[in-house]
Amino acid sequence: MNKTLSINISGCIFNIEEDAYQELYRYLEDIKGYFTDSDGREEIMADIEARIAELLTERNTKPPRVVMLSDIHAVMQAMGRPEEFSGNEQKSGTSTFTTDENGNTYSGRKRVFRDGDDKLIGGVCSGISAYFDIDPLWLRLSFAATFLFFGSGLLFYILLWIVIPEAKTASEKLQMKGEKVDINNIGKQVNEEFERIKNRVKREAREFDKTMKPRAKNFVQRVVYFLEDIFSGLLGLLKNSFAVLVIFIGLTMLLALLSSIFGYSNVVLFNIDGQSLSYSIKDLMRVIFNNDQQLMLTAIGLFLLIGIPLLMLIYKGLRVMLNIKHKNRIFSSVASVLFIIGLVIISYVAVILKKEFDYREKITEKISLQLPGNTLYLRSETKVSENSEEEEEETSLVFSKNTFVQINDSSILLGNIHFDVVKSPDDSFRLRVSRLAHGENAKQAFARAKQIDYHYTLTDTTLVLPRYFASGSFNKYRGQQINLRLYVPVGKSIYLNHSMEPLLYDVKNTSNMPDDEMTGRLWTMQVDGLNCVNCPPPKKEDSSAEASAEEDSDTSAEY
Amino acid sequence: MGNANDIENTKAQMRKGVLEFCILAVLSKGEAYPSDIIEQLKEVKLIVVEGTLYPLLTRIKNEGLLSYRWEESNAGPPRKYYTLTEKGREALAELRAAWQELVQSVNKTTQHI
Repeated sequence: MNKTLSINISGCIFNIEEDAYQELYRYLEDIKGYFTDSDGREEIMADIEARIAELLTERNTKPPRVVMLSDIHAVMQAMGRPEEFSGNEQKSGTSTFTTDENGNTYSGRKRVFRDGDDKLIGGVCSGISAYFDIDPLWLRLSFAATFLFFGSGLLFYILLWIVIPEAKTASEKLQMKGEKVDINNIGKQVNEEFERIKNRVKREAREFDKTMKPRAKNFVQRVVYFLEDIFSGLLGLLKNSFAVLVIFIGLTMLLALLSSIFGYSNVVLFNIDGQSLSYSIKDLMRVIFNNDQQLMLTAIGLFLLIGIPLLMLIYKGLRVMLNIKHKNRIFSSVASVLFIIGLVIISYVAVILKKEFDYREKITEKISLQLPGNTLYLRSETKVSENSEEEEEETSLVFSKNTFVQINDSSILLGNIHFDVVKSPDDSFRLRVSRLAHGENAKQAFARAKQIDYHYTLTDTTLVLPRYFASGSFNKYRGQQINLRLYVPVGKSIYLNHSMEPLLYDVKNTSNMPDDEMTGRLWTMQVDGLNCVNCPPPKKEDSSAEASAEEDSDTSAEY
Repeated sequence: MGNANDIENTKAQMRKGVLEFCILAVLSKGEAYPSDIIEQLKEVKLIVVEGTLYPLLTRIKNEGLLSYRWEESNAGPPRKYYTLTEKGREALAELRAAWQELVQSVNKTTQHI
């Protein structure tokens, strides 16, 4: 059952279904909104109605003559959308459209536009305010407040400026204002929507009854249409939520990017073993780049390279959310050009930087260590500087587990130390210290290697190896590294304190124990390599040969 | 895509520009009511959507180029039959001259394509 109404269009009587009537009513109101009295609105409307009556008559020659929604849609298609044929009205120049004239009666879908008539900067705030029907002052104040946070609000404002088209034509201005959104209206809209769906469901149900038996194909189609309708509604909802999410993520990342490049806040990159890797990009760049120009260039390049895609992401999200169809080609091309500029800048900086690393030089010295006993105790010290007042100025940068950089003004401290143990050719302990550095040429690399400052101390049987070395007066990172190699005579032992762990670099041993498990144990040099003395019994997989070798070493151990 | 839209828009503008001229031309053959005019213009694809015609007709009529009379129809609403006024004939002649001039100029500037 469906209610039909009896209506009079241009003197013709039609029976029309309720949903069809509502569609037709809305369509006519839409058209009305596009013309003014001076255009001869009454007459145009009368003519259009007459034509609609004619078209409906042509479609309905059978006796019951009930106009359905599909008829109305066909008529609308033939007549066209109002914005398609209102162009003449603009051209005639007689249009003196005041927004108040129709603002209240216009019932078209409200859309976001920038308000060029009421603007301080770009009309963004007043346009959005018109959309939500609030006082623009509050929006302006909140935007002004966000300008203070690294200018993120400014960026967002500019983005909105680009995304939201300005209301230029009278109809756009109307759409911008739209119907006032108040409780009444929302109620009305919800009701209308509800009625529409109810009618549709009713009609589907009726069609269902009617078409059950003879036209199964049609019935399937109906169900498909019905489901499509519901799904498209859900999809729209999903699309909007997704857009909001994308905008949120984009803005967050943009803010993080801006503050890490231009500010001092740390960026947490990721988490390994509960140790989060975090550093400020700005500090990192200060350690790497030679001068402020390079630093600035890189900051700009990084911003363009990462920021532009983020901005595009936010832009797309906004377009979807605000349902904006206008294409802004200038924005896309400018964004592409800026992105490419960013790419060029970063490549340029990378090439320059690579040159700085072209040559590597190594300075090696080998010292024999005089020990009173047969066991050498190894320990690492993390004290970074002798004068503790400076410590406050230091910033720590963690790149990975093995590298640690601390900066003060004069020099940087690096933890890039590789320690390993081999068999001594004779019967004395020896330590080989290699200092490495990179440079544009061999001379420069050599000079930098020479500047590296690393002091170990040997007291009695304890060798203390500092955890960090200073880069010397040259305070940039150029691949400086210390390689330590300890030569242990056969039959003598070393004890690795736990503090040695970050220094160990693939130390070979007979039980193939990984570096991080080697500390806190006593090791004896055998003919076949380092042997664990006080290890717990080997696990199941270990061969019995190794187990017996370990027992042998027990006897030779001295405490 | 935006480019294609622009071209579509330009094409629509071109059609719109000559539409008034063509309506007058159709009516110069004798009186007609809107559906007749639509039929003829649709055939030659000068009109895509019918709604375009009505504001235009009203405007031309208000400028005094057209007059109309009502006629009852046996099926459907009464019809408005439009005819050219004397002023309309003059306007048509003027537009015709302007059009020929325009065609010549356009042909001249585009003949090398």
